[in-house]
Amino acid sequence: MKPPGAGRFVIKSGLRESVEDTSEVERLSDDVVVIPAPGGRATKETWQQMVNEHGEAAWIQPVITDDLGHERFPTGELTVRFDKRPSDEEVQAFARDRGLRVERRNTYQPEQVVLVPERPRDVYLPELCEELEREPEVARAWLNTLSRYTRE
Amino acid sequence: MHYTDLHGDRVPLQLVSEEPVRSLGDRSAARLSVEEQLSPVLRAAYAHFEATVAEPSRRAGIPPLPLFREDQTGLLKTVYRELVVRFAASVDDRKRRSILARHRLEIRRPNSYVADQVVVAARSRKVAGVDLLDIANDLAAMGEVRIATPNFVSEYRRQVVPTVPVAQWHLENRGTLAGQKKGEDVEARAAWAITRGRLRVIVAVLDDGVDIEHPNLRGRIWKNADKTDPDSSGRDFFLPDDQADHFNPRPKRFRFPFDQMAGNDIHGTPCAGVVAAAGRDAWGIAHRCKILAVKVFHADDLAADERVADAIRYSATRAAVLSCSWSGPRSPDIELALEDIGAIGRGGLGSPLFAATGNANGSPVAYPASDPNAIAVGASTDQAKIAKYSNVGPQVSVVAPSSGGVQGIYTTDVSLPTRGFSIADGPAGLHTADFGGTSSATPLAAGVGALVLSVNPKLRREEVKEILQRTADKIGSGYDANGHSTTFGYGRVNAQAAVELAKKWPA
Repeated sequence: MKPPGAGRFVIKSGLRESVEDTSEVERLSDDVVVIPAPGGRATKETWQQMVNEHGEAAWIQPVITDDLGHERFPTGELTVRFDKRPSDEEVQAFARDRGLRVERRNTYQPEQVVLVPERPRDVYLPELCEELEREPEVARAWLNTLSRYTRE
Repeated sequence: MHYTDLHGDRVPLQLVSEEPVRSLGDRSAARLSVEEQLSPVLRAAYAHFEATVAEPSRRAGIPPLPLFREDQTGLLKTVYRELVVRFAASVDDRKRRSILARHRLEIRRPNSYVADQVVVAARSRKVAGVDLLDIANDLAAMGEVRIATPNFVSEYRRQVVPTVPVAQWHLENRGTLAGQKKGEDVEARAAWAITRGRLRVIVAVLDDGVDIEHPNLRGRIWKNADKTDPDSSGRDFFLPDDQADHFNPRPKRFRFPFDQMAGNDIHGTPCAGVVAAAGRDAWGIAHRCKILAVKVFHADDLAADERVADAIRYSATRAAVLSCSWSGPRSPDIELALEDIGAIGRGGLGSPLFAATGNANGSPVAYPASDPNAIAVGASTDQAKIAKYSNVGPQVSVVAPSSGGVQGIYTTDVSLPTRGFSIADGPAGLHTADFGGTSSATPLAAGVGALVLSVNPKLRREEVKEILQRTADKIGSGYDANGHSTTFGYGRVNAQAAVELAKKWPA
């Protein structure tokens, strides 16, 4: 799979102090920072490298970009939009079978459900999203993100 | 049902009722809308009919008086027994009498000013009301008759088109300042002669909050008629639904310096004013429409794409038009939300979403303006040029007047003391002359969209876009064979032309 384009990782808590003090760290909030990926590529391999480096306390995921290179920062949640509106039982079964937990259903589009991995630190989310999109009952799947918006 | 006008065209009528209201307070008044009940002209007409016609008619067993609504104007009309007939000048008296006799009509009185025109009534007192339409239309079809219509009592509305302050050149540009091009505006006054908007057409302003208590906005803010619903006057989607402050769409974030966008919720209030400011020192283009305040940002904090997407979906459940003076990354949730509001909005007709192309000095059109389901709005100036900051690309739909020329845009400002683009105290702080960007162009175009839907609520969202594009004025140059320019889109929005085309759509 093509690596997410930003070449950076977002990290929640558990950042090693030696990294935190460098000028390359961008702080998004008290416990969320963004740092460059090794070699500028946020692949699954470099993700695993980062996970190994920063220990089990850190949650790490790659920053993703849109087609114009604007960054989007994963929150740890992902959304699945089903082809047809599933029942609550069907959604729970879908999640359970894939090591996911249902967080909420969309108020305005009941085909849309927000999920989180049961073991968030063990999952490279972009890959999980791609796998979910290949499921026959899934129309689209994407990472939930925080983004910078510009009031024009 | 219809009557025939001077040109031989049918003027459609809807039969509202055949039992006109006697007076306010009568139970039959409940059969009319509030608007109809409150029309002073209509009350006067009914009072006249009641005293001189209706009661005697009922006693005489004459058919009930019909109440019509004219489709094109929305105005009410009623008629009793009379027709107005004007014969062609060449028709002699004997022929005229023959025509009237054939239709069992007798002359009640001649017109004092026009010899060829008479008021007639059916010989049978039982021919009245709706029956008269057929008789009138038969006569109107005759070559010997110039006009034949029921002698309506009609509702008339006094159309006092507001005077536009000089500072609001985007509505009416008088070329007051050196360098301004007179007439370079959206033709607001000419549009207002047709419509100033309708209360049921709501424009959602998705931004950093709207000052819903602002003296020049508070009468224009959508308020929920259901007093038990916590969603009383809009929402703050930056916050989760389960927080009480989620139902407060007002500006909340402020930090020194208070007149800068960074750290301050001061952007949404000017946008709302461009749409619907109510005329205290400034007018919005659609000042009889309502504003739905939808807060999606807390100043320039990062925002969740999911929340922004749901704000779009929520807006379409209540609003006919969405105005988004911002840009951000393309995300699947927002892409789908723009698609979804085609079904959610306006009972399936779709709510058109207007979005700013962006202010990055001619860069590619930003997202969501670049989405095919959005109407991308760039900025032109009071000199009929493109604003240099306005982004360009094949997705530009139209431009609308904004800053970048001689003068900026005058609109509402956050009314909290020392907060907003203008931090002056008191009345001077209620408005700003320094608004602009594609941020101001977007609600201006959205307001024109609201005027379009005010005259023709049956348009699909794609048709609103097409009407604005077809009627835009071709300012500047660089238009291709299809009439499109990557700089100006299809041109500068013309509110008058758009409303006129919407009235007769499909063209």
